[in-house]
Amino acid sequence: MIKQSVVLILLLCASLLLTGCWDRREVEELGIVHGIAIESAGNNRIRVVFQYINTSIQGGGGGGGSGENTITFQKPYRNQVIEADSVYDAVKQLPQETVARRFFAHTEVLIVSEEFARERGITEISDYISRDPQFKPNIWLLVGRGKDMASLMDTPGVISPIPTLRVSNVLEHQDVVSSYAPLRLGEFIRTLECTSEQPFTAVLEATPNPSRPVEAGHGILDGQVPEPANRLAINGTALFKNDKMVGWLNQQESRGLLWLRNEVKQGIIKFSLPGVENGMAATEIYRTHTKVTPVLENGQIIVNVKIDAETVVQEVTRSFPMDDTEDIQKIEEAQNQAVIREVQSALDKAQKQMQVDPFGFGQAIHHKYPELWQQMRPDWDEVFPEIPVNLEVNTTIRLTNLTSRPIDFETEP
Amino acid sequence: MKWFQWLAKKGISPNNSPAEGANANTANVPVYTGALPDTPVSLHLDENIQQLKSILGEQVDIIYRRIRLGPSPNNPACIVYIEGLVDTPVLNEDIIKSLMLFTKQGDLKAGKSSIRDDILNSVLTASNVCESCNIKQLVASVLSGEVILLVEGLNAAFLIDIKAHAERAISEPPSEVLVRGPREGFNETLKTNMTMIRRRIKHPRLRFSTMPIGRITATDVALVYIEGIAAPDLVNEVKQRLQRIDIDGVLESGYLEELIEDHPFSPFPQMHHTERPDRVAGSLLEGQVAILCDGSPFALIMPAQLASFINSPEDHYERYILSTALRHVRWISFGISLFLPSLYIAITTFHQEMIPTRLLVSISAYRQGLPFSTLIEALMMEFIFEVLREAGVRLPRAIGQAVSIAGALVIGQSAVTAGIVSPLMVIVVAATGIASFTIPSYSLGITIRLFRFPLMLLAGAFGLFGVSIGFILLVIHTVNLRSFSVPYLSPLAPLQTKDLKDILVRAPQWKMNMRPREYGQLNPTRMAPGLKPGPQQGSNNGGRKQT
Repeated sequence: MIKQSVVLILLLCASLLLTGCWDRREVEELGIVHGIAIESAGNNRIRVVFQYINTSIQGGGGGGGSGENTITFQKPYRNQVIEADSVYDAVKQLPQETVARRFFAHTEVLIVSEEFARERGITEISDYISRDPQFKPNIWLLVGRGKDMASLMDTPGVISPIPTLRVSNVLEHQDVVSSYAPLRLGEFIRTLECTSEQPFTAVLEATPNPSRPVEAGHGILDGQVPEPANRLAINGTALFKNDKMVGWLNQQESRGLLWLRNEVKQGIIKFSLPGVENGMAATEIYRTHTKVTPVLENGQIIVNVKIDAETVVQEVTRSFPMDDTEDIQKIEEAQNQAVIREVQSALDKAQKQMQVDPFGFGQAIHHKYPELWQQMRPDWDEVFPEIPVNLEVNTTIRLTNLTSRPIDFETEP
Repeated sequence: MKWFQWLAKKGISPNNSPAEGANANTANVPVYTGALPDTPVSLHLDENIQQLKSILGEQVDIIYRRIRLGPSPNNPACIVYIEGLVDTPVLNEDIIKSLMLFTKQGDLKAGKSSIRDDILNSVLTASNVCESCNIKQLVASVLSGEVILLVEGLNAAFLIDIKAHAERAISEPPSEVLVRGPREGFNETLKTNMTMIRRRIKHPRLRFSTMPIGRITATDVALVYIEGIAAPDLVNEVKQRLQRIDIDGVLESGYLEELIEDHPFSPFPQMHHTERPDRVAGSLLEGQVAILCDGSPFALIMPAQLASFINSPEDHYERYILSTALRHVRWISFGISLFLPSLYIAITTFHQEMIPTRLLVSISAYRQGLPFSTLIEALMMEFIFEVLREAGVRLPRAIGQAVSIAGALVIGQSAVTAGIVSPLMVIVVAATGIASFTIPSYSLGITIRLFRFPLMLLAGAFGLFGVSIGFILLVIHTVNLRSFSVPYLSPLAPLQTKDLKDILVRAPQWKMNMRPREYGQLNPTRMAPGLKPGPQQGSNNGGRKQT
C-alpha cells in the first residue's frame, strides 16, 4: 500500500514538469509595451504606435554574453507602427512582425492624437483597453498635439531616453507644478459616464529642444550622443465634451481648472509687486483648499467658490520690505488677484467659450440639490454657461523664507 | 494496478531476505543477543570465575586478579574488572590494599558468614558498593565498568563502582553557539551530563529515570523530568515508548528519536535535540521531558512545536526588546528561506504584472540570452548551493574555506559572466541560503531546505497558484502533526493566546508568569505576581543616602 502511494506521488511529481508552458512566459521573451499612441489613418482606419522597452540594452546588462567591446547604437526603446481597423486588430497584427510576446501590463501612457480626439472620440479606443485584463486602468491618457504620432513617440529624453517612460515620470510629479490636469484612463472613463462632469486630460507636444546648440555641437563622430532635436513637453489641458475633444486650456487656465477642482497641491504663483515698477513676486503654494457651494437664490443657481491658500514667498525681483503686516497684506492682496485671474481665465474659456463643465459644478449641484438636479439635467448644457460664479479668494503668506527685507540701495537703514 | 504489481515483483519482499542465511551460519556460536542465563553465584570461587570466563571470554582487557584475604591461604578471592574503565589508583589503594592489609591485622573473625559483613562494612573503602548473587548482573556490571569482588565461600559478589574512563572535556557546543549564555555543552558521558542538569536544578523532585536500551550495546538512557511540573501522562507515555524499543544498539539519541516519534513519515522534527544543558533545564522547568543517552552529547526534548524551533535559548538571556526583534527577523527569514526562490520563479515567469516596471526591465535585461528557463536556473543554483553547503560541513575546516571561496567565485562571479545564470538569481539563492542559517534548529533548517525544491517545481508549473497549493499542503500536514499529543502548530493552531507571548514576541520575564498551557498545566504558575521592576523597589533607595 505504502509502496503504491509512493509511486503515485512520484508520478504526480513528474507530471508537474509536463505541464510546462501553460500561461508561462519567461521575462526576457516579453516585449514590454510601455506606451501606445493612436492617430487616424484615413478610411476609418487607425494607426497605432507601440513603444516597447528594448531590454537587451537596459540596466547595464553585462551578462548575456553579448560582446562588450562592440559599440552598438541601439535605442533603448523601439517603436512599431501598425495600421489596422481597430486597436485590437492592431494588437493582433503584432505577432506577425516579431516573435516576442507583447506585454501590456506595464503600459503606462496612452496618447491619442488631437485630430483623432476631436473627430472620432476616445470611446472607440478605450473599449478594448478597458476590456482587456492586461491593461491597468491607471494608464495615463494624454492628447498628443501635432500631425505625426510616430515622431512624437520618437522624441527621446536626455536623462531618461525612453519617451513614454519620461512622460510617465513627469506626470508622477504633476503636483509639483500644478499647471496641467492629467487623468488616468480609468478616471477618464468614470468622468465620461457622469453627466454632471466633463472629462479633460493633459496635452503632450513636441517642441524644439532649446538645449540643442544652434551651431553644430558635438555629435556621433565625437563619440557623443547628440542632443535630440525636439523635446516632449506637457503643455496645458484638453477639454472634452463627452468623449470628443473641444478645445484646450493653456498653463494658466489649467491652473484655474485645478483651483476649481481643489486639486492644486504645489506650484508657483506669479504676480506684479504692488506699487513697484517692473517688480515681480513669486510664491510657492504650500497648502490649499477650495470649497465649491452651489446656492439656490430666487430660483437661480449661483456657485460660490471659496479658495484658501497658504504660500511662501520665494522671490521678489525688486526690493520690497516684508517685515510689516501691512506690507504682507499688500502682497497677499496682489496674490489674491493673481489667483482670481487664473480661475477667471479658466471659467471664461471653458464655461463661456466651449460651454463644457470640467469643474464638476453639475456634480456639486447634484450632491446638494438632488431633486433640482433631476429637473435641470435635460437642459444642463444650456443652463451651465449662464450660471454666475462668485469667487472669494483668501491667500495667506506663511513665510518669507530667510529674507524679510531685500537689499535696498535707496533708503538708509 | 499492473504497474504496482510489476514494481512489487521487482522489489525485495521481506520473506526471502538474506538475513536468514546469516543466522544459520552463526547458529553454533552462543551469542548472547537475548537474555543471559539466570544462574546464581556459586559458593566456589573457581566455579564463578569459570562461569564469567565462559561468558566474557579470555580477553586481554578483562582482568581476573586473584588475591588472598589476609594471611590465611583459605580465603582466596578474585577481583574482576575491565582495564581502562575503572580508576586504577583507587582500585589499588582502596580496594586491593585494604583487602590485603586489613585482614593481615587479624581482625577477621572466624566463621565464614561474618566475612561478608566485615568486607562490606569495614574493609572496602569505596563509596558505591552493592551486592549481587546473579551471574547475569555480574556480567553486566563488569561490562559497564564496575569492579566485582568474588570471595571463596560466599554465594554473592560485591559490585564496586569506581568507574573512570577517558571522556571529552566539557566545551562550548559547536552546533548551538550563543553570544550571551552559558558556554558549556554536554559531552558523551551520561553521568557528566546528568550532573550538569542537576547543578542547574537543585530541587528534590528532579528525576532521572534510567534504563538500558539495546540488546547488545545496553546503552544507558535517562529520562529527565521534574516531578510535579511535568504531566505524569507525558512522563509515562515517554517511558512506555522507550521501553517498547528492542534494538541491538543505540549509538546516538537520534536512534531513539526515530523510534519514539509520533509521525515517522513526516519530514518535520518532532522533538528538539540540543547540546545545551541550560536549554534542557529551561524545558524541564516548562514541563517538558528530556532524554539523555549515554554516548551522545545531544539530549532530546519533547514535546516540541514548530514555533519553538524558531526560538533560541538566547532569546531568554538577552533583553526582551532585542529578543523580540531578533525573533521577528528569524520568522521573516524562515519565510524567505522557504518561499523566496519559488516566489521569484512564480512572479517572474507567470505574474510579471506584479513587478514594478523598472525592476521588470532590469530583470529582463539581465536575462537576455540566458540558456535556461528561470525554473531550471533556480533548481540548478539551489542544488549547487546545497552541494557547497554539504561539502563545507564534511570537509576539514582548512579545506572548507577553500571550497567556499571556489564556490563563491564559481557561483557568484563566473556563472554570471559566463552568461549561465542571471545575477538576480544569484542574489535570490544567496539570500535564501543566508536566511536559512538564521533558523536556530538544524533539524528544522534541513526540513525547510528540503521543502524548497517541491515548492520551486510547483511554482514553475503553476505560478503563485502552485506556491499557494504547496503552502496549503504544508499547513494541512503540520496541522495534523502531534508531538506527544501536543498539536504541532500550537499555540498558533489551536490558538493559545496566552502562550503567544513566548512565540511571536518575547514578553519580558516579569510578564511570563505562567507555564505553557499545552504541557505546563499541572503546575501552571511560574512566578510571583507583580515582579515588574521600577525605580522604587522595596526600601532600597538604589544605594543613595536617605535624606
